[in-house]
Amino acid sequence: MLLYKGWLETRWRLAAALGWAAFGLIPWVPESDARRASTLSAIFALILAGAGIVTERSLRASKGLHGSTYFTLALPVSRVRLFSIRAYLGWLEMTAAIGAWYFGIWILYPQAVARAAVTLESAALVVVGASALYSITLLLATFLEDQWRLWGSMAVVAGFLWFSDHSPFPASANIFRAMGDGLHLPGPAAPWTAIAFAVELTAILIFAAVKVVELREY
Amino acid sequence: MTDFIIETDQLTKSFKGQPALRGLDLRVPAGTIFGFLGRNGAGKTTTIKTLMGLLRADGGSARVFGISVTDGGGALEKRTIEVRRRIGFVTEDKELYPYMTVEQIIRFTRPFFPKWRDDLEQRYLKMFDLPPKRKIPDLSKGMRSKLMLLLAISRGAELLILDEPTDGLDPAATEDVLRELVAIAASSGTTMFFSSHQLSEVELIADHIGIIERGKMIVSGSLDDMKAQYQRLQVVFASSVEMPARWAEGVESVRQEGRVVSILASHNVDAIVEQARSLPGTAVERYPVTLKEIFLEHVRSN
Repeated sequence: MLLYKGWLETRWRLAAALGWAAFGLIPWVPESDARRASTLSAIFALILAGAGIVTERSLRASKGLHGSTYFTLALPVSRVRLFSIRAYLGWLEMTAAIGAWYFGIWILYPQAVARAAVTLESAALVVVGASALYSITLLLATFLEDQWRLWGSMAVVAGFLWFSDHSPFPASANIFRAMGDGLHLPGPAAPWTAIAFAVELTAILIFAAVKVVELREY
Repeated sequence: MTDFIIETDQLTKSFKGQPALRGLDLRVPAGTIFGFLGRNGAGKTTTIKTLMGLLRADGGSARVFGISVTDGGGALEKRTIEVRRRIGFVTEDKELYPYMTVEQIIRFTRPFFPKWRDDLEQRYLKMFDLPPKRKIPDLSKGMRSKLMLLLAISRGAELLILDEPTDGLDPAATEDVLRELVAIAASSGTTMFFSSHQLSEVELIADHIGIIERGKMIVSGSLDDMKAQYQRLQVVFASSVEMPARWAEGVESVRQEGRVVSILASHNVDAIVEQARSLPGTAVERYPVTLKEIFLEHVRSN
């Protein structure tokens, strides 16, 4: 039932993300638009990440109320489960939005895609990179009220992407630059160092988010 | 089976250095309707949240159904989940998910509670006249209160914790709800622990009360005993008022208006009456007191 609740909460966010995915297809000029994958991933992460409990409170915080926070917390469910189901659903929706975007590219711009397998590899790489961005916004969503979460997450994610652009690490070690190269992956040589870095970053940030959720009082 | 459904000992909780609970001792006997009273900010909601495991106590201990909801350790969350499964809860805010309809929130809540009572759900849907297809933001505050009560009562809970349950209800609906609460307590032995500012409502249905002031329990016990112990004495002096240097033990307050002296006594009433009658030219009358008088006397003197 928590998935059902999460779905009712986020379906319009998913619709917005799919709208952005559609917008990201026009016009598709792969050679001049290598940054599009990371930009879109950041947008999806910003739209779809939410920590549930804080978001519920934010709905009525301006009126000095706690929204439905206490109704949710009073359910016989652990906070970690509440958080992880909401986070998992947001991640699934983000993955679906990325998948929809790649599917659109494959259908609308077959000339930009070498092979279906390459498109899948590229999409998987973007999901890994987007997961790291998603975990940043997820962590921020555990302690920032909704109105601050969006701006705070935008600033942090933009800073993160800027740093990755200007860092001395090559694309093989930098997931966000590798995401930009997306469809032009040189065959089977996946940027494993970058993938490992992104997975580690995601794991650390999610662990930190879980700790905040466990310890925070609402 | 424990004698007390809720027990706290020296429970403390602070927020940013501001104490909200300062050594709260609370005992709620099983099967009672317990009215939990206090001024705004006295610590009522903090107590309720701590009992539900939504807040962590700084010190002291609290047990619900004999299960500790304060002692640390990895199993604490497991224990509080078990406690919440056996409690029906109405929050102070009466806020529910704005994106759900009445029937959606019932469908959502039902699976969390294995003892969910379909018969009660149907009964209260009808009785409260709740439209199943209506979205929650389109319900009036009174209807939201009724929906929360339905969600709490239908859980088949052993304990109902109700934070201002009749807030937003019109007088007729308030009476319906209070009558139902009494009926539930009588038929199923469910313990009710409820806070309210409506002292007349509390007086109508509660059999035990506790008054909290600045995070400490200042009065607690059976309402009948309390009302039997407390009395107001009216002493009318024939001529000038000549008060004793010191009233007998049990006098809580003394108020004078002209030749009439009003005394609120908490115990030892017979001795106080004797003392008043021994004063020259007095007539003494005894009156029962209301819960409101007891409440006001205690919170003012604290």
